[in-house]
Amino acid sequence: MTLVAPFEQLYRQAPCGLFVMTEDGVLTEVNDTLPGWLGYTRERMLGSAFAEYLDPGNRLFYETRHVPLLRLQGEVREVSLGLTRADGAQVAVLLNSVVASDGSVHVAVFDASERAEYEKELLGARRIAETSEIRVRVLQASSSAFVTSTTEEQIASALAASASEAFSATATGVFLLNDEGEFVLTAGTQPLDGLLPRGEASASRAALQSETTLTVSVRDDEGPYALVAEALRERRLDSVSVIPLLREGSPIGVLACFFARSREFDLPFTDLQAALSRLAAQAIVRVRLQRELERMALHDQLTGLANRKLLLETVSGAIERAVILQKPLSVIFLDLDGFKTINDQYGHGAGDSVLEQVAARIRTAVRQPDAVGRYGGDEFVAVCEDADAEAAASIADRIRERVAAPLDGVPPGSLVTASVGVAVFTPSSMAQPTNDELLSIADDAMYLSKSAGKDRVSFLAR
Amino acid sequence: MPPTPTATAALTRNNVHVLGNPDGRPLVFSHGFGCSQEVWHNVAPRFLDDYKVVLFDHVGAGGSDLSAYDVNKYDSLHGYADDILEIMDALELADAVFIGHSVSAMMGVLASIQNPTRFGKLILVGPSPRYVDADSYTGGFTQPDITGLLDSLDANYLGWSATMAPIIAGNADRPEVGEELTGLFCKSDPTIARHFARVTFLSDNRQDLKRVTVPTVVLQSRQDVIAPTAVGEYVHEQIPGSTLVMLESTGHLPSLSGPDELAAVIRAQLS
Repeated sequence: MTLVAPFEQLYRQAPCGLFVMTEDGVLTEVNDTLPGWLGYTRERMLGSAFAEYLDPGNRLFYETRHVPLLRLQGEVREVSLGLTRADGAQVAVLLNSVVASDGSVHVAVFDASERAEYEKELLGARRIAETSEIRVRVLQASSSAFVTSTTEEQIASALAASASEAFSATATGVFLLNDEGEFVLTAGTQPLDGLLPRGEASASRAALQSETTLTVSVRDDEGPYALVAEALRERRLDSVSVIPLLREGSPIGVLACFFARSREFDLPFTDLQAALSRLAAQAIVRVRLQRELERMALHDQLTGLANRKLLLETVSGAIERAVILQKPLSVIFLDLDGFKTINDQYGHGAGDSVLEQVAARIRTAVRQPDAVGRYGGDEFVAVCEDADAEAAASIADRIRERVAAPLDGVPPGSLVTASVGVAVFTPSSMAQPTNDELLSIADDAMYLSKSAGKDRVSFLAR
Repeated sequence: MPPTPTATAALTRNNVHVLGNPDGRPLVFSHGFGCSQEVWHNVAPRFLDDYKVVLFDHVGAGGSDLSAYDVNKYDSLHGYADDILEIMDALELADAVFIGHSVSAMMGVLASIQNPTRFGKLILVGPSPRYVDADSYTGGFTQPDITGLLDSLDANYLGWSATMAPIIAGNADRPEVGEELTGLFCKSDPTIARHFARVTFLSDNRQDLKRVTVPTVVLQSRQDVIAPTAVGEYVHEQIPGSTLVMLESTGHLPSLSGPDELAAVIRAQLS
């Protein structure tokens, strides 16, 4: 029986792996425990490099973190690594390493399989929780921002901010379609500005058309988005993802996220993008409906002109501006002649058609900035700022002439004309009237025309 | 023109140290992933007599200002490259030699493309324009390998920020770099390190190499698994007019495993 010194036995069969390696990581001594765990012989391990027992992921960590730390610090404790066994399986270990006085490295290896398994589960759960936490936080923050927004611009800004945070995008832009069908940058930035031909939006249109997210990268330098790829490179960007903003199939615009390095657009990423863009599209539609309702409350539904309420406000504002700027203000009031007959003889449909045509004619007869409204029944008002009696006379006469021209759907016998009255307010020589007062002067002037034989223009000054 | 306030702010943000000969040619040492400016501990001091030595930490590492970490900015190497340019502007460097290790090599490449005026030379130590294999290109790693690294980072979360008492006793053989450089031991914010790992190992800057106009030297050590020799050769082939120098040192950290040789090779390239 060979007598082994107790300390040597302790070393050889220690409840942990022990080994010595050179500065360059070559094993020069190892006890029996570690080869036992890894399924190698002690002889096989001696002379081998420690890095051989690390898979690439672990090796990346070991080389970039463990090695410099050990060299600079002289000691590293409780490093968690996975060692690869002879049969290919992984053994999770904790490593304590210390640099000895001769420069060699002494290492103790502890089996941490169960602990690592448990930590891995915890970590997995934490990552899932983190991902969903970000998702919930971003969606909550953005939806509450959307709810309190009253304009499309505010919604677009909130969307750009949320997307920038959620995706760590280098730049984010929200582009909404205008009435002409062009994309307009409404919030965020467009880093490719000036590099693409004016109106070039092929990627945005394609995303809207396909109703799915479209990505373009610098590597797409052949094909339909070559120009975009070139512009991305010029701006030191790698890729852009374009997400359509749609509501019930109708296009509203796009959200574009620009990234400075290649990204993996995985499912959680695209899911969150889709949810964000759905919320934003919903909010934009709500704001648009609201705006439409407001417009309806202040406009005459038949003719689209300002209604009485809006007219009164417009006249008030015009009077104040006239006083401040010391400019004359003219209010033109007109009442149709012969309208009642058409309504009575040919029905309300014919009457409505006459009102619509007259409204359109008045709009073309006034100057560009003048406001036109339907005051009631067959009464219309035009508010002409910076118009003295002479200017107002020519506008009023133009209105009178255009109304008197033959109308569609009105038999030649039934003539429609306009009795027109003009009130001129000259701030330098008169006291400031109220809106009601100025309108009633114009109304009085209109009655002068009516009683003088219709189809004419009369003036009253305050 | 005096440096702008934003430029001088870069000096605090990046924990910049300017040492050595104020009239010497500037050498800018830039550290890679996993460590801080300490990684140059045994190399930089050898240039103090005749060179102006500039050392700094990337935001997130060492003594940098962690509050300056902007996820959007640092989501690509361009964010780091911009910092390098700001530091060079703040110090008004001319004809500078940029020595970048590992991922910093690519930051230097990007910075020099963006504005080559302050650069006299690029010395790239163990560069890799892309770590993950693609098509006919071999970077040495696969996507799952990078996931494995991220797992390792998470498993060692505590190790990143935990400050250990300085254990090295009697470092008389170490040339003095300055009190402020010791004791940080590659300190890094673990969350930032995780993001930095993604940005480092998932970037693809192969396309940028051919746009380098500054004279470039690639230093390649042997048996570097992080940036294998084939990758160093690729970088050399792609950068017009560059030179490739093979080192005798092994491993990814010649600044620590072979500081004598690394310093000598750098010096030879400067003459």
